[in-house]
Amino acid sequence: MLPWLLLALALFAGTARGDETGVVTLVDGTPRLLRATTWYKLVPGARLQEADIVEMREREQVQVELAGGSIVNLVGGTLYIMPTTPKATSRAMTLVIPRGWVKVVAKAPGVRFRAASAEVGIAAGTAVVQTDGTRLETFVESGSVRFTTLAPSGAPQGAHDAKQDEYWSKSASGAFVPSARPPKTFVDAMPRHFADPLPSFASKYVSRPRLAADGEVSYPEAQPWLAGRDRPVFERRFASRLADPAFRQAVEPDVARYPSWNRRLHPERYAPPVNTKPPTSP
Amino acid sequence: MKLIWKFNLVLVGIFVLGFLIAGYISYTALQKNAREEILQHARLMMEAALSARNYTTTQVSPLLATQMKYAFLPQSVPAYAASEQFGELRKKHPDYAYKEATLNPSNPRNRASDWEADVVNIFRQTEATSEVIGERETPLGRSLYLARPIQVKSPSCLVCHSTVDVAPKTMVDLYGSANGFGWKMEEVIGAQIVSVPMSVPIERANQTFKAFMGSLAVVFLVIFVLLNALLYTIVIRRITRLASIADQVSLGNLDVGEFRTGSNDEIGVLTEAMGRMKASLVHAMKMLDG
Repeated sequence: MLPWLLLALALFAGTARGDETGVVTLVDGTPRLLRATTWYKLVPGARLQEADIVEMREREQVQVELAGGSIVNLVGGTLYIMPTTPKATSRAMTLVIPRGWVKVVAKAPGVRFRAASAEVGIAAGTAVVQTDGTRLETFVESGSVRFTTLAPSGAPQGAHDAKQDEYWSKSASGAFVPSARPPKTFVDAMPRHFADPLPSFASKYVSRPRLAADGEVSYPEAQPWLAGRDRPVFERRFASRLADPAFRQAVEPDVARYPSWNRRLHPERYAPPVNTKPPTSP
Repeated sequence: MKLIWKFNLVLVGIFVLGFLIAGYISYTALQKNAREEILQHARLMMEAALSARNYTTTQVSPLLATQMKYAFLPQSVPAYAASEQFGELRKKHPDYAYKEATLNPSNPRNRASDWEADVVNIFRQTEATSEVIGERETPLGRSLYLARPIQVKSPSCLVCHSTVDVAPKTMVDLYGSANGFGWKMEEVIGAQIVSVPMSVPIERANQTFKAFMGSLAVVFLVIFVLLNALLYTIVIRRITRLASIADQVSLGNLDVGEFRTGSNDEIGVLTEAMGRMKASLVHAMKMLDG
């Protein structure tokens, strides 16, 4: 009880400092954190905030323990903590996973994972989710899971509820397919520690480590986010990087894709047409 | 028959009788001890197997519960744990054996053979029987077996062994759906059978018996020789000399010698009495001549 109380207090204190959503309790490898436009080396004890992006290489691991007590363990993937919006109907945190393996132990209000073509919502329970950017696979260890198919625009199209011990998969354009058990290929490819319960280390990280900056985001690093369905959000976020000539030069070939940047870099393209016709006398 | 022959005849008779009685008692006791030792080994093995089962049930299985959702791990099964532990033991002691002989097992290696099924059926037919002990011939020699019933006493057993629908899917994937189901609460479904070789303790008992009887024979022989030597020097030789002088005196040869003795024992007293008797006879003869 005491560790959770300490974590809750720590996170509450963090919230006052700026929308902290969880604490990083396990780091295996050299994952990085992108906050605003700056990369930081991720270390255990680091507090994550809304809009943070965590990125790691293949087989690297990060565990995040969220404010509500949910535990998220991510292996070899990318994680984007979606900012909450005033319009949100659920208090469940939404985590965007373009790729990677995730094991989650969800507690109320739950966690939602958003992949390219679907969303996986876990109110209370344990599940393993894997996506490679196109295919989405989920095994429900305990509790229940709600799958929501997303249109390319991000609009929900239909939902399915999965029970404990069920395995559901979905290809990029196909429908969800349930199965009574996970296939051997899934189990064999799954990170080995996902077969065990996720331990909590939150109580060990009461103090806040200082994060070391590791450079600014480059255009190739930002490009996948700018190409996604949240492009306007990232256009605004990375706009300050246009002050960097190298970034600006890299953006130039694609600038037509980003209207706000195009307008800023090439205002002449958006200038009102000049009337060259001589005025006529009445 | 000479005195020494009579004496030796009785002595040999006593020795043979004692030898046989001691042999019978020691052989019976040693064989009984050897069997008790074998049985004690078997009980110890059985307790070790039960410990492995309990350890697996209380400590290993809960740790593997999550992993079992992905792949069935036989390491979580108490019977498997006990069998594997014994398997390690058998690498050094191949003539020891342990089996959880089951009439309808999930794992085919636990299926009861003919004689094991007979043992299981004893438990099934007579509920009061808690242990069966027997002996049987094996390719490695005579073996003693100790069997105890395996009874379904926990509902957790039925999670895997009641019906295919309820059983963990990963277990059905591994062992199939044909066997290992339909168990009921309180049903005796098999027997734990420990087999312990009898040859080693029995051989040891036989060697002890031989050594004991050999030692007893040597002791008897030494006693026999010593008694004969003592009898000859203390009794036979002195009486023979006494008889020889008495014989000459009776024939009128009074110069044959004196009845002399340096001993105060019964033969010494007899010798002195015969000396006095001879002196009286000489004196009487002189008086008749005079």
